[in-house]
Amino acid sequence: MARRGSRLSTALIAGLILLFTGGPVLLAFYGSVVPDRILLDPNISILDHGLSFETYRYVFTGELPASYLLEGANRSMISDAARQVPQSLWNSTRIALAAMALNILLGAPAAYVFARYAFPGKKASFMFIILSPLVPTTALVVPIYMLMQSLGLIGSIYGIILVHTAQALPFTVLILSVFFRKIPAELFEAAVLDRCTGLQGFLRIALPLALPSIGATGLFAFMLSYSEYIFSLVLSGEARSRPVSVVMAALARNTDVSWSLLNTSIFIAIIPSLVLVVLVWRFVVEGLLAGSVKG
Amino acid sequence: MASVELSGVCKNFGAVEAVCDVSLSIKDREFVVFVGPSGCGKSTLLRMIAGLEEITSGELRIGGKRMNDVPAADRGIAMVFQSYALYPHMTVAENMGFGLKMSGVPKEEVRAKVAQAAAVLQIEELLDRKPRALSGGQRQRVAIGRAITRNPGVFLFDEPLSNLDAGLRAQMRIEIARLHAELDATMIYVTHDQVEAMTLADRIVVMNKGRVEQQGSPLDLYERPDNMFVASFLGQPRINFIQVRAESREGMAVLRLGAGDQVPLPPALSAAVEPGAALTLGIRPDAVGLSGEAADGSVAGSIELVEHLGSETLIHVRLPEMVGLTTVTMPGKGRVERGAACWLTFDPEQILLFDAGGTRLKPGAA
Ligand SMILES: Nc1ncnc2c1ncn2[C@@H]1O[C@H](COP(=O)(O)OP(=O)(O)OP(=O)(O)O)[C@@H](O)[C@H]1O
Ligand SMILES: [Mg+2]
Repeated sequence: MARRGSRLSTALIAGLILLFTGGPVLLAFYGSVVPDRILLDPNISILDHGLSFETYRYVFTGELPASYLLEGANRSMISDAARQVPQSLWNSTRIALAAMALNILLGAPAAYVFARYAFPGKKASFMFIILSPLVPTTALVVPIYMLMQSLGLIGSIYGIILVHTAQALPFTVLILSVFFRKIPAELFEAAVLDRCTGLQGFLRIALPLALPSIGATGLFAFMLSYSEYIFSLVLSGEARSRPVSVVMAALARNTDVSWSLLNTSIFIAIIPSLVLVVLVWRFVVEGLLAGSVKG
Repeated sequence: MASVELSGVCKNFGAVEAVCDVSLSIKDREFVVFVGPSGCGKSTLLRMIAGLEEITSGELRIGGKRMNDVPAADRGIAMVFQSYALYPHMTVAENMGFGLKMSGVPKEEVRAKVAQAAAVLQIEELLDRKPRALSGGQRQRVAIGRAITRNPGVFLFDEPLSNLDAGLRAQMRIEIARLHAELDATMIYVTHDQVEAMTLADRIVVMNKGRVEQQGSPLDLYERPDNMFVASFLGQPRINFIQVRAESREGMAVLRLGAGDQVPLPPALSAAVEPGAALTLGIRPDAVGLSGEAADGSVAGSIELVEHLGSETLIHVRLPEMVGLTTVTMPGKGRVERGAACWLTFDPEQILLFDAGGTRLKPGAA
């Protein structure tokens, strides 16, 4: 009895979580394949009309949906911002992948050194890295803008990459250093006896063991970068270098925008995350479990 | 040639003095065991020999060469760790060949050496497995195999068997003894299992609080311990200690126990004793005789606890006015009753006497 009860409550809670996480995604998809006049008119049944992928066609090719060519349709509902979605998707993917790569490239060695070596200022520098995310982002917008301006990086994706890397790095360093600290010291001592230098110990012992955790933190950096808004907005400048989050906000701010166009853009923007999660999910789960199970 | 010499070696961790003024001379192909209670500095000493721990002061020589500042990989040693320390992401073969590979040995040669070591340890069929797919005993073998492939002059073992169950431990102990005979290498072995120490060692080094208490062959230490610490550390079941006072009777020293029983001493020991001194009598359980009747020089007591081990029986006897119990071993399944009165006799030749400071009194000339 107790067993069935607990299974029931598990299912209930899982269902609730699914409702709040999967629900919006499904709604966005639904809204994207049903034209506005059907979506907003309670008297027209969806079943009569079937699905329509015209808005997707518009986003990628610029060909206007038939319904908006009808007389009396409000042309202003077709926002130009929707046409920026493909380019922004490409921008965001590059930015997020670069931030992810830099996080791993910089974060893993840093975490290893923090975990395994003693050096002057270790505690202070670690604290500084770990506590830096506590500074409110908005307080940093102006100084970072000025910094990037002096570096000539406004209006390009490179400035954004730098900022996103810096934003995720504290988490990368923290999570990976916890992992590295859990590797028994004797393993590295054995490596020393096997003629490994410090660097070889890192590359040949620590890194292969940390692969799942590195996958997890890399994915985390990707997500953080992909959804980041305020710096992306301030640093991106013109349409050419805008990431997805900025374009989405522009779409959403347009009060007249077509619902199905907005939903289409939302759904397209979700896709890269979905793909990445499916590809890397195994790593994430393993990485998070790795700490609790001793190799 | 892989002799190991330590002279005046010390190790400080900040204010903690882990190893203090240790001087040892270990001959080529000798099997030396470091024993001692937890925290006495055995591992630290071993790790200094390995090069994993810096030597604070003193000198280490291996094969006659000063090694204080030589990197661990160049000392001609191999170490087997308590936790095995196998690389989890490598197969057994890769684990065993890793050191050679890092030293730039050609692949073919690495493979041959690994195969050879695997044959010695009979783990050929495990070579393609990852460590997590091995049992504890198999991991232990692989760890030893990894040491063998490096063909070192000195093997260092830090409690290699402590993670195994009793049966496997006995088996691996024999295995290690066999390897020592086969490999022609010096072995230094840390344990706090005194059975391992007694069975494996050519020489035992007993450590306490960072210092060497005594060193010598197992039987030497067992029969002639320098002090109570060494006497109590070796031997299973442990040696009995009984508080006594020396008295003189007809020109010979006798020992008076609390209740007034007197134990005579052999002449040689008698000469070393000053009448009136408070001493501790040490006697191994197998040197105590137990009988149902009083005899000259016997001590009265009562049986408090009987443990049957099958091949022998441990009898714990309470002597009047003594804090602890006195243990007696009897071969076979002796039938004794709890609570019965009994009389103990001590084999005079095996009596050890310690002064108030715990140092053994050496028998003088009779
Ligand atoms: N890295 C270290 N820093 C500070 N103190 C240490 C360090 N390593 C060991 N010690 C101290 O040195 C002393 C000796 O330690 P060691 O590990 O050599 O003991 P041990 O004889 O091997 O004990 P065990 O039988 O428990 O393994 C202990 O008091 C220990 O606390
Ligand atoms: Mg130890």
